[in-house]
Amino acid sequence: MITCPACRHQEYEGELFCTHCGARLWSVPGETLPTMTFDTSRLREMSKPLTLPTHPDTKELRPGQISLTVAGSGEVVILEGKPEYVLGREVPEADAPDINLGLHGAREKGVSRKHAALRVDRRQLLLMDLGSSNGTWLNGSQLAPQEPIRLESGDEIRLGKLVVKVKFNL
Amino acid sequence: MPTGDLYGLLSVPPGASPDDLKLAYRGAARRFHPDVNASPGATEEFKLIAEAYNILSDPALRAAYDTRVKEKGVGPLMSIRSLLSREKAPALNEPQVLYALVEIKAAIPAADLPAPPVNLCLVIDRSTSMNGPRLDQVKAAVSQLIDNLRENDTCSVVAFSDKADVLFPPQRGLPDQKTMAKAKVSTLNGSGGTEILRGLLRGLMELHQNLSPAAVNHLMLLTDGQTYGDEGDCMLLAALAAIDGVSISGMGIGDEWNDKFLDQLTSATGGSTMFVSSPEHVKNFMQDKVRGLGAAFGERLALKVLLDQDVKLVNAFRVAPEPGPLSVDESPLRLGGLPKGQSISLILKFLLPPATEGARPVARLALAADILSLNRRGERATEDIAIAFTPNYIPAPPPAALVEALSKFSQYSLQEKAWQEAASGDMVSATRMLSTLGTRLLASGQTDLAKMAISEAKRLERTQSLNEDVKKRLKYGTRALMLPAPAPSSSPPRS
Repeated sequence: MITCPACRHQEYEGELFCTHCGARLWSVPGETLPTMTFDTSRLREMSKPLTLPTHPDTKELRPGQISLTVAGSGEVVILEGKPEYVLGREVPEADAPDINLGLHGAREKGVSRKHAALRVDRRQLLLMDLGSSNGTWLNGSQLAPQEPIRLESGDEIRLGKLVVKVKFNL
Repeated sequence: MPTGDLYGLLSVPPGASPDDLKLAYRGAARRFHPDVNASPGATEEFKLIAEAYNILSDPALRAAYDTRVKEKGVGPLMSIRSLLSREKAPALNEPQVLYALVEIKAAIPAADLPAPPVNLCLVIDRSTSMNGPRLDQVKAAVSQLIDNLRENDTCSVVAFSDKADVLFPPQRGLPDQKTMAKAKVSTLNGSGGTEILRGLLRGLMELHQNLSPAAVNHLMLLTDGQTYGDEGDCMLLAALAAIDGVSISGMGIGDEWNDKFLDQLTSATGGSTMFVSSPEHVKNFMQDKVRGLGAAFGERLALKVLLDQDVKLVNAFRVAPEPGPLSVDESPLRLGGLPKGQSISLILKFLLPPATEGARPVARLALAADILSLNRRGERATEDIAIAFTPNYIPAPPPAALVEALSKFSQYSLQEKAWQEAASGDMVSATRMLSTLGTRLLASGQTDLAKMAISEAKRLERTQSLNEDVKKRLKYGTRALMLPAPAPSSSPPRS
């Protein structure tokens, strides 16, 4: 076996690049490794946040707007102008949530009346589960109730079984 | 009677003496005898070798064979060559890795050969989520494809959701048929879920109406969603399709389709999967794909990797013309079509057993293909891989072309491994791998992909969950890097 000089991973003799970190494992006797020269402007660019090319099938959002796309139906709800939005489904005997997902099959999909909240905090968007019966997920992992977590535009959230894609321009 | 290069089967030059032939025959027979070699296909190779020796060891038959080859003026129609990570290796009491970069190309000038007809079926996902720009772009792309059909081509379209309908049965590329077909396409709209098995089954049934050994038989599957519960049956259909000489390619639109499944499904038939990150790219992808199909020199390429004793094939990956993983559990490896003027490159990774000093065969690569425009079926080409173990091994740098291919393959493998770690719940390891990948990509000048990897690493650390869109962009982006530059006629997926 040989040991990767970069990450100490054990590799078979004859391996050319570490399977764990991609480091080069072969050398020529007498050869010194070349010094890499980086363009510093490239490094500066690295520190900028990544913006993925927007899909042409989502509407361009104006500054301050949040869009919710309900998976399956593809319906888009645009939110604008409030610091906080409660997501849930309307029932006759109680206060309506700010955003009523009842029209999007929310009941069958286990969305609570007051399921989760979206809060605008400066230019960030936070998501918080409001102690819902069937839970709130962000990109596949479940949130602890009442603990806000920061979203990124394009994140997929799940309320019970209702999947909603959140995009925003804050 | 075996076709093609009988000398190649025995790994001897055409002028070999009877004694050399006998020696080569004994060596080859010993390698592939069913008692010593359990690898699939070894018995068949053993029989071919015996038949070749029967002919070449009989002076009259050998003379007749030589004359026939000379008169026809044709030797092997394809060439297969391999470049090894090392020609010599240390004799060690432990296993070691050997890489081969394999190149397959036409051995004769092919540019002026007639183009083969294409028997095509498009299988289009019409689930609800396809509505809007996705379906609009697909319809425009299909219309353009119909316009570009040549007279000898046939094309049918199946649309599926949780049921499958034949939008139109196989049509020839004739003007009135084109008009009718395009009118049918324009009626397509989306509703329902995604059940790929139904679409696939219906599509293969349509293809079968015109299945021809003289044509390129191909099914193109477009989807934007996951299929649930029918993956196993889909794989069975793919295996049957491959046996019938049908290849399947996949186009995944958006970020919700199952890339792993589509890769498996298509590679089992020699096809490949493309990631359509944005609907307006569908048109180009489809056009390039069909153009590639119609420019095939060889079709239904099947490569048997006949391993010598105790050697393992750990990994197989097609680098070009369409990058994608190949399943080492299947034999033969299906490689699809060999386009005129291009070559197919593969990376094979072998694990060699502990060895003592001496030369040792590693594997025989036995290629078979149909050369459509010459109406030749089951044409063969053979390449033997061997290595010399030595006690005083002096390290030598691996060949540059192989290093180039492997360094890119290692970047692709790193992101694959990161997703595996994430899926098994080890987010710390996945995060580290993604940020290492970012550094490596940056060092190789791939700034966009590097940013994506680093940003995804940060995000994974924070949210402990993956973004499917980024995952697909990195997967198909690093895959496209493997294509030799300048890229051949097909445009690699944009990252």
